[in-house]
This record gives sequence, structure tokens and C-alpha cells, in this order.
Amino acid sequence: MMSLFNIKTVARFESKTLFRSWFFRIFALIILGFIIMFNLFGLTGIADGGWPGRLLPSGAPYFNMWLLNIAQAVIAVFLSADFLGRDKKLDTTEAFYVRSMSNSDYVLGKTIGVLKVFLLLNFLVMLSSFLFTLIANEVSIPLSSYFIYPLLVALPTLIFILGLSFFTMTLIRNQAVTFVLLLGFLALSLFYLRNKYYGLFDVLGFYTPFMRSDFTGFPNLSITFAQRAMYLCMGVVLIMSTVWRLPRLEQQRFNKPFLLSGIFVFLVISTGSAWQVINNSYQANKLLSHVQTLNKGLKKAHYQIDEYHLQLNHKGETIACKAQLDLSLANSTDTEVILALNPGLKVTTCHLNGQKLDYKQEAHLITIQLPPLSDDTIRLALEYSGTTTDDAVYADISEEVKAADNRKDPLLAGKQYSFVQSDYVLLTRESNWYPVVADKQYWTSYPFTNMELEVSTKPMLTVVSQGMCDSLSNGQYRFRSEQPLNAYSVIIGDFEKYTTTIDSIEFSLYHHKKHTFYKEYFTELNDTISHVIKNVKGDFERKLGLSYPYKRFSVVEVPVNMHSYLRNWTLATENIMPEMVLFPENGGGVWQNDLANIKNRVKRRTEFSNEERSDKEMQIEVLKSYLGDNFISPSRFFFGRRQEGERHVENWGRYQVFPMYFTYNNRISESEYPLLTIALENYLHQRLSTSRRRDLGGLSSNDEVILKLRENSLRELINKEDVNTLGNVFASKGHQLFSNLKVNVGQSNFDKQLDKLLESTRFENQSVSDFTTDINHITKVDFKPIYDNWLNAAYNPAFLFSSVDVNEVKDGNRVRYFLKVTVTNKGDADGIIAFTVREGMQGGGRGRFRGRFQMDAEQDNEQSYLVEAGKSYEIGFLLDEEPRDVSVNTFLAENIPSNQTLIIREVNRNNKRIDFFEGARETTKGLNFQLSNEIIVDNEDDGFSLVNTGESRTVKDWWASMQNEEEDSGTYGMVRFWNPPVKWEPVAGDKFFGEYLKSGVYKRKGSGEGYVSWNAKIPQPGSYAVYAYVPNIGFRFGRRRGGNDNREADYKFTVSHDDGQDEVTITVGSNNDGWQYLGEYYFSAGNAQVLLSDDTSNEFVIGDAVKWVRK
Amino acid sequence: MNIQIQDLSQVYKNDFRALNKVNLDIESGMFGLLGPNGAGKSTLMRILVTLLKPTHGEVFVNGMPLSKNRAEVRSYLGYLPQDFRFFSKLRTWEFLDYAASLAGIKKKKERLAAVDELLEQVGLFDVRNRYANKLSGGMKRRLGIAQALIGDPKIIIVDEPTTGLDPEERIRFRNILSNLSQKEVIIILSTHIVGDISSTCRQMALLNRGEVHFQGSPEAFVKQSSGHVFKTSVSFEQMKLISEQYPVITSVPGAGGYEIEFVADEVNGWETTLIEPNLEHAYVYFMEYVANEKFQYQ
Repeated sequence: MMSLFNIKTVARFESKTLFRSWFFRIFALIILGFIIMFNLFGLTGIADGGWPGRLLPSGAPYFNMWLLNIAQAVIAVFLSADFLGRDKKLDTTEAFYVRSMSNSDYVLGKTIGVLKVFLLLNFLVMLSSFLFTLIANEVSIPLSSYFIYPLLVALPTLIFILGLSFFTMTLIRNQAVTFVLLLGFLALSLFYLRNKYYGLFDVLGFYTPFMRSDFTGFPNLSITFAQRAMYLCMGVVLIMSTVWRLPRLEQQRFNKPFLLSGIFVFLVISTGSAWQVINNSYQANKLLSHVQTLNKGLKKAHYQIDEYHLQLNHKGETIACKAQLDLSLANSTDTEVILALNPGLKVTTCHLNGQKLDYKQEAHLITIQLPPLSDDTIRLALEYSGTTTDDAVYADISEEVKAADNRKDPLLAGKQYSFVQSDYVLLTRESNWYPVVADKQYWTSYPFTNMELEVSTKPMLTVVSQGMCDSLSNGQYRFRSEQPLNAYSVIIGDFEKYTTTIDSIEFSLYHHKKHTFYKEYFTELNDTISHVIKNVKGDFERKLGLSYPYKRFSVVEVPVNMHSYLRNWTLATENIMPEMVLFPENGGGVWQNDLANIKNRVKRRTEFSNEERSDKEMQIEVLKSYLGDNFISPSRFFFGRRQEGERHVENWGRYQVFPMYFTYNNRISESEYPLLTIALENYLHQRLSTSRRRDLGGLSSNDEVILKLRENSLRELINKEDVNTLGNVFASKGHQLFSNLKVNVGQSNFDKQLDKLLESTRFENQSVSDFTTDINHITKVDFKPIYDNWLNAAYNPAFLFSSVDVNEVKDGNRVRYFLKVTVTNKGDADGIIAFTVREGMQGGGRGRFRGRFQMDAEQDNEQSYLVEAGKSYEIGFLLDEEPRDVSVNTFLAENIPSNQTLIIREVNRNNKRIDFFEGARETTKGLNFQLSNEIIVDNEDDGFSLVNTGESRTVKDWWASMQNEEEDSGTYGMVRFWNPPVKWEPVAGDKFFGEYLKSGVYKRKGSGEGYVSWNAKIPQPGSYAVYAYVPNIGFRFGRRRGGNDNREADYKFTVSHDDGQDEVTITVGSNNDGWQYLGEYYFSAGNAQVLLSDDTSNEFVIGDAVKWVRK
Repeated sequence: MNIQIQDLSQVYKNDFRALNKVNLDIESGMFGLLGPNGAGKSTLMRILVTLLKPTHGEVFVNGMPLSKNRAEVRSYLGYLPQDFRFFSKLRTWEFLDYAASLAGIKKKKERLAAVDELLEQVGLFDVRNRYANKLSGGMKRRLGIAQALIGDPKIIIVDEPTTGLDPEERIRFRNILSNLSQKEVIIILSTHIVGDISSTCRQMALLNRGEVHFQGSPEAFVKQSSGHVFKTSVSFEQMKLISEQYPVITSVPGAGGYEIEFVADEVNGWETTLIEPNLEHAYVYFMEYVANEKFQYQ
């Protein structure tokens, strides 16, 4: 029999010894010290800049546990292997082995002893997290989190690791080998297996989302629980097996059968849990692929829903709905109607005029058999109930994207798409909580439909949905939307609500009752807040050119585990619904939503510029920054990274309100992909964007699209490639379509009329032909052939630009500046170019965070020109001030980068009588890439080759190459001056030389073994001047501490000519970029070569182009 | 208390027969198990303390078969292993406290009293707060005996307890044991040092090559060699000769040579005096003549 006393005794002395071991003490102190330091600086935010994740619900205990768990698993491996190691010094142990206790007493006692010590460590860590959260006094964290995290995360890991080390030790009986095996296993799970195979191998819970929402708790609790239970029980099995394998005679004769049956029972529970995890995934995948198969088979539907009358009854963890659908059929001979509904909701009855109809529910499709009809409008009554499932939501999103972590740096949130819980409901359109017509590709474009919604729920809960809300009775509400919408959502929860009316729009904020940390930042704003919002809204709408279409605007706080995806056909995600933004709890724990952080930034800036600002002004600034970063003009922060496989859109954010101005109001009913709608959306969205300068090179998403479209038309790409990868192609092509159109009628004219058209057709399911007619009317050209050409043609324009001539001229009495650029279109299609000219000096104090939301500050004036294929033009600008910067956007031409800054020549102040003009003039003096007496070899040409040798000669190099591999995207990157590659890598950017593709290669400095070479065929013998192109990159950032601004770089060229080889070292400073003269040499006909060594004083070398110019 | 060992054999995996059909009866009091190194003493001890399962045979404690009553037998036991040197990071008194708890003293007060008493008894009270692994070799042994004695065990088994102890320590150790032998307990003392089997042993057995060659009182054992122990004086030159012929037990150098004592079945060609044998004489005689012959006959 087991004796509690014995177990306690063994445990008591085991923990005593453990606690006294220096190994444990040192490790525990390091971990504790680290975590306490983190908590001190991260949670309380003293010394500037706390960790933004502290604002996440339960973020503090989660993060603490997340770190601790890795550390303690490693310590546990060492200690527990040590514990049986100690037992190998047999004689002392034997004195205890002869005592009257059972083997299970002994092993259990040992285990508990070790656990006790670790639990103390856990307790201390949780206590520190709790105390620091208390001190910081920003967010409240449910007390239970401090117990649940250790139990859910730490305990199963510890028991498993202990069991595994004990058992391995009894098998192998060699401490060193056991260490290696166990640490290897941990490393394997941490670095390789990660969350693969349904997350079954995530021993440490490192890749399992444990983000606990204050609304809805843990994501997929039952599955997470099963995974943890699996490890817990497996740990128990291993511990019992250790008892079984213990080198000590058993105390009782019948112990072994008991033990074995115990092992069996726990093994069954453990495998059962594993099976539950696997089966859950399996079932989900089965359902998903079923949905995908059914979706592929969908045909164009000829019926539509005109109006919904929905009664939603929320009860416990289910909803029950009574739906009345007014359908209009194409004709009364239709025999069936196919609707789509979330597969978790089961249809119970289906009636037509009181007559029961036959229906079939298969996955998400409901096929309803219609009786012979006399009328082509019918009213179907449908009842369905259940709990929505997330398994089949976003059926179009690739598995890779879905499996990617939802990281809230560095923690993991779940990916939940809908919630039906007893105190919380969140249903968006994507969850299919109301039936829609299962049209072909219905998920890409939903029609506008009226809805009247009645919701009944617990009386104390608040219900949020679209439309005007009437409270019918306690816990019963009716919503009636003023317009037909193409998306409806319903959110039920326990909210605190604030409402204010601005510009006759009702602005509301719904947040969790405990999430009040934001209030202290806006104490002074009570009477100003509406003014600020009004300003921000006004600025935004002026820039976008459209007005807000709804009567309400709500920001609703939603669980941090809610996730949405960006699709190819729209810039809207499920975080934006008509009338509402679904905003993550406390801002989702990102830097730009950390109000304390913003406040510090604002304060620093104010101090820096010596301005005097009142608290109120500061708070206004903070609010503007917050609104701007989230809703108006989000931009990725420097540290923000691209999510795996997900589409990347510049100047885009999940909570951007832009879709409320277009996506949820305008729709052109297209068959297949809504290309016109996409084109329009991207054209409009481009109005909001500010182009980012790419001094260091690198490709914009538009440039990547150019590479993709090089030999394909859009139609070909759609047929050829997985549409999942075409999001950015749609976007760039879409923008290009409307940019082309506006050339004829002038930009502002076109935009004004387009805006009017969009506002007048809001909430209408506009047909393609109607839209085409309207566009024809605006542009005065036939839109159809342009559209067809846009879709089907694979021709591209290719532009050459001269540098910009600037002349001071006299215009009347004023001194003005005349700019002239020559452009030639060498491509096989007409193309559009758009110039942006900035004049005068740059405004002061434009930091990284400034000016982005002050729309009125500076409007970039873009001017577009049509450049026909094979023709050349001179383009003139007349400015009041000296030009600072001239950039040109070539959209989808051969040119990469598509947005380049042109070189501005020295202002000519001597010839004021020059003939100046504005606009484009055709000219016969076209541009050529190279002159007749020049031979140019660029890095893209055949004559260019490179040699990598001695790549990794130091550990540092090896590490750098490992890092590079991770970042390597296989295409043109940007210059990473802080970590240059150990191999030559291609880079692109407007600072580089190239005919259309401006690119080069670069490499970390080396020993001279690595080099690039340019080889040319000299056609006729003679004297040639040799030049090498050295782009001016990175000197601005490449400064090291103590270095000077005028950092110079050595470039060692070797020119092979008739008299041998000459080594020419060129020193390039920050002011002389471009062609560098290497000398004049005699070449006979045949091969000529120039080498560039990787041996340099700089951190990296760039190889670009070489030219030979005949004298 | 009594222990009956019946037909006990132990064969190790490498076919080494450590014990061969051992039969012994052990009654209360001190029992000395004598034998040379490798005789199987430790194996026998380990079987008695339930650390080893015999290949064959059975041990009965108070009539109970050991293999089926380990729990009960273990509760009688106090054991001092042969090489008791390694300690985990516990203080001297904690170490005893641990042993006392496992020996079944559940009340803290009683336990601490017992610990203090034993610490006094073995003379470790002054170092009670020192870590056990910081004690000197002799102290460690004493701590070892203390942990074997705590909780009033009915059967105390000590394996080679005096190896490495200085004479003073050894005497103190013997005294502790002989005090105990007054009680109704069995003390089994295994040793290859004859001096340990002092007069305190009521019974003894001699083990050689896994077999019991003698069981009985030490007196009976000594008697066996009666008439085979001789005393004589030899010159320095003769000394070499005689020591090649007979096992010489003691040699005291004198004026013209040595005074020696030796054992022999019979003596030829030497002028000798027959003397009364002691335990040491008996052991040597036994090992040299009886055991080897017996072995040779086999």
C-alpha cells in the first residue's frame, strides 16, 4: 500500500536537497532575475517604453509563464537525471531502500519533491507578474489567470519532462546520454517540430496559443486542454514506468499488476487525448475539403434574396434562428434553391407558405426543393440552430496561411473567427450565420440585401448590430438597417458604451467593463473629442474624396483571439463591418496602440522642438496618433514583419476604415472574380497612400507584380496560377486600369466624376453594363476595349528617362523654375507615367511618426501623362520654388522600381530666356540606353558573372549566412547595410543602374577571393575610356559610432587591356555617385574584362555596371 | 527473533555462484559472519535486507518467508551498507531525521528525541548541524550506524563496519554494538576481520566461496583448532624456512631470533609447544587446512 507519510517524507527531503543544490539555485536565480527585470521594465514601463503586450488580457502572466516554461524544462532535465544519478551511488541509497516503503512511495515522493521546488519557482514568477501589474495599475488581470497558467502550461510540461528523464535514466543509466537525449528532444520540439502535426509535439506549449481573452477565455480550450492532458498523463505513465523499472525489489507481491493497470489506464487517457487532438483536426479538414469541393461545383445562381427577417435567439452556447427570406427567382419554373449556412448550424424546418419543403443539408449547403410555383417571388421560412463552427470558415485561405502563428509579439493568440458562448457572441458575415445564396464564388462578392433582425439574449448583455436599434423588451432588440447592406454582423457581450453624435453620425465605443486603462490618457478631452474626430474625419474624406455613408460608427472591442484574413479580392477584412470596427482587446498589444508609449513620444517630440503644449494639446496629439495609426493611415512599424504566406499590402491595416467608404457600399455584379470592383477599390485606396522612399532599394509589391506580369496577361495569370497569390496583381492592375482612364479627361475632373458616380450608386448591385456606360460617359472613351485589353494583353511599356534639367526663368516679373524631362517609351504598349514634383525645402521636424495623419499638411500633386509606344516626349513643369525631388511612377511597365526618383541637374541660372512650357510635347529626339560609341555591360547582362569563394571563413560569417538564408526571398532585396550577405545577392532600387530593371549585386566585404566581372566584346580596336557605375547606397545609415558623415568606400577594380592588367582603386564618397572613371586604355577587338574585388574598406561592395567608351 | 536461511543460492549473470546452498539459523543476539573477501558475505547480507532476490532458496524471518513479506521485514531492519560514504546535501541531524521518518516514527517530537539520543550515543551531537558529506570518515561511519539503529530495529545488519576506522573508533563501534546485543534483537555483523567477532558474538558462521563451513558459537569454532596451534622460537635463518612450511600467525622478535605462533595439522622436525587457540588461530587454521581440503576434495 502506498503511504502518504512516506511519500511526504521522501518529498520533503528531496526538495530540501534540490533546493540546496547550487545548480538549481543559480539557474533559478538567473531566471527569476531575468523575469523580474523584464516585469520591472516591461510591465511598469519605468525608464521609458514598456512592453506593449502588457496591455493584452492576461498578457503578463502568459509571457512570464512562456519564458519560465522553457527555462524550467531545461533545469528539470538536468535535475531529474541528476536525481537518479545520485541513486547510482548505491550504498547510501540502499540504506533507505531497505526501509519499509513501496517503490511507488519512493518515486512519487521524489517526483513531488522536485515538483514542490518548481512550483515554488512558478509561484514566485507569478507573484512578481502580479505585483508588477498591480504597481503599473493599467490593466486588471483576472486573478485566476495566475493559477490557470501554471496549471495549464507548466504542470504538464514538468510532469512529462520529469517522467521522461526518470524513465530514460532507468533505461539508459547514463547521465550524460540522458541529458543529450532529453535536451535534444526539447530542442527538436522547440526548433523543428514546433506546431507541426496538430501541435502534438509542442511539449513546452511554446507554439500553442494560450492567449486568454477577457471576453471568451482561451481559444479552442478543449483541444488545448486535450493536448496538455496528453502530456500530463504521459508524464504519469512514465513516472509509473519508472516505479516499475526501479532497481529495488517491490514491497508487495501484487504491486506490479496494479502498477501495470495504472500505466495502462493513463496510457489510454493520454492516447485518447492525442486522438482527440488529431481527430478534431481530421474532422475539421474533412469538413473543410468537403466545403471546398462543394464550392468548386457551385453554378451561377439566377435567384436572389431581397430581404431577410431574422429572429436570433441566443441561449447558452447556442443560437436558434428563425429566418424569413424573400426570394426572387428568375422564373417560376425553378425547382431548387441552394443556400449557404455555417455547417455548425443545423436546419430544423423549412416552409413555404405553411407548406413543409424537402431540403438537404450537406456541409454548408442547403438545397431546398421547390414545389411548382405560380409566382417568381417567394417567402421561405427557415429555422436553424446550433453553434457556429470555425472549421469551414475562410475555405479559400490556404492551409499555410491558416497554420501561421497569430503572433502578438511574442505571445500567441488563437485564430478564432466566430464565437457563440453563453456570455458572448460574435458573428460576422464570413461565419455565414445567416443564409446567403450559394452563387458561384459567392464569398468574393455579396449582394446588398435588406435585413430586419430581432435578437433576444440575457437581459444584462448588450447587442450590437447594423442599423437602428429598438429595445423591444428586456434582452430583446430589433435592428433595422437604413440601407441594404452586403454584410451583417451581430455582437453580444457585456460592454461599457460611450456615444456621442458628430456631424449627425452616432459615434460609439463599446468596450469590456474592465478595459478602462485608456481613460487616463484622455481626461481633458471631454468637450474636444468630437472636434478632433470631426477634423480627422474631414481630412480623411477630403483625401479620399468620398463621404461616410452610414448613420453610425462604432468601435467594438472584440476578443484578442479573433482573427481575420486579407483576401485577394478586397482590402476589407472581417475586422471591418458596415458601421463598425471590430477592435482587439486593449488594442491587441502592439506598439502603436500602447498609449503610454505614444504619450512619451509626443512628449519627447514636444521637448525636442522646444514647444510649449498644454496637457490637453498633448492628449489631442495622442488621440490623433491613435486614430491615425489604426483607422486612417496605418503603416507597418519598422519592426513589423510580414506574416507567413499572407498577402502584403503597403499602407494597409486591418482596422482601416477605408472599406466602409467603398467595399461595403459599392458593388458591381460580376461573374467570377470581381475584377472591376477590385480595380476600383485599389484605385481609391491608392489615394490614401503615401509612397515610401526606398533609398536602400528593395521591391515594392507593385514591383513584384511587374516581375510576375512580365510575360503574362492578367487573364493568363488567373488561369495559370493559384488565385491566392494574385492579390497584389489584382491591386496593381486595378490601380493601373483607372490611372489609364483619367489621362484623357484630366485627373481632378475624372476623380470628381468618379466620386459622384460612386456615391450615387451606393448600396446598389450595379450591373457591369451600367457601370461601363457610366464610365464611358465620364471618360468619353469606350471603356470596353480598354478593359478587355487590360485583362488580356501581355504587352508592356518600357520607359527611359533623362535626368531633370532645371532652369531659372522669368515668367512676367517672377523668377520661376522650369523643369524638363525627356521620356521615351521603348516598349510595345502605351503607358501611363505619373510625376510627383516636390518643391522648396523639406518641412522641419518630420520624424518617422510625424505628418502621416495631418492630411492638410502637404498634398502631393501627381500629374499623369500618356506615353505612346515608340514615341518620345519632353515634359515640362513650371515651379515657384526650386525643386527638391522629382519622382515618377511608371505603374506596370518594364521599369523596376516602378517608383523612381530622377536625378536633378544643377540649376541653370544664366539663361533666363529659355523657351519654357508646361505639359508634354512630343519630340523626335528620343533617348537611347547606350550611345553608338559605348559598350555597357550591366549586372543583368550575359557578360556579367560573379564568383563566391571563401564564403564562410569565420563563425560570424557562417551565422550571417544562416540569417541571410532565413531572410532570403529569392528575389531582389534591399541593401541590408547592417547585415550584408556573405554571397553576392541581387538588389534593386532607383539608385542602381539598369535599362529598365535598375539592379545590382552586393556582398559583405571579403578577402578578395570573391569578385564580379564584366566581360564585353570590343568590336573595333582603339582607345577606350572605362567607367564603372557605383550607386550611392547606405552611407547615410551605414555610419558607425565615431565615424564621420563623409564615409568613403574603396572599390578595387582590375581592368584587363592590351598592355596587361591595371588595378584601379576608386574611392567613392557620399557625394559622387554614378559613373566612375577608371582610366583610358587601348583594346584590340575581342574580349575585354573588368573585375571588382570584394576586398574593401567598407562593410560591403556593390557591383552594378561597366561601360567602355570609344575615343 | 529468529532468521532461518534455507538452501539459499545466488548465481549472478556471469554464472558466478556467490552463494551455494546456504543454510543458517540465526537467533537473537549478535551473529558474526566471518569470511575472506569474496566469500559471499555481502551477497548474503543484501539478500537478507531485501536488496537482492536470491536465485534459489528462502529466508524465513520469525517463520515468515522473506520474499512474501518484504514490507514487514523491512520494517524490522536497520542496515549499514559496506561502503557508506556518499551523502546528499543534508545536515547530520536531517539525515537521521529522514531515516527515522522512513523507519516509521511519525510523530515529529518522538523523532527528534530519537535523533538526539542516537546522536549522543554515537558522539555526533556536537556536529549535528554540519552537512553529512562534510564529516570525517569515522564520523560518517558512526552516522551510518546511527541511521541503521534509529527506530529500534529488530534486525540490524552491518556489512564490514570497521574497515578504514582507527582503533579507537573501532572499539567505540564494538561497544555500541555490544550494548545493543543485550536487547531482544538480531545483530548480524559481517566481516573479514577476526577481531570484530569479539566475545560479544553469541553465534557465528564462517563463509567461504559461497558456502557455510561452520556455524555455532565462537567457542566451538575455536575448539576445532585445538591441538593445532603451536608456539616455538626460531633463529632469523629458520624463520624463512618455517614460514614457508606453516602459516605463521604472530612473530615477536627476540634476542637470537623470533618467538612465533603458527598453526598446523601436525608438526614434524620442529620443537614446539602446543598452546590454547584463540579466534584468530582458529580462523587461520580453518582457512588453511579445513576449508582448502574440503575444497580440494570436491
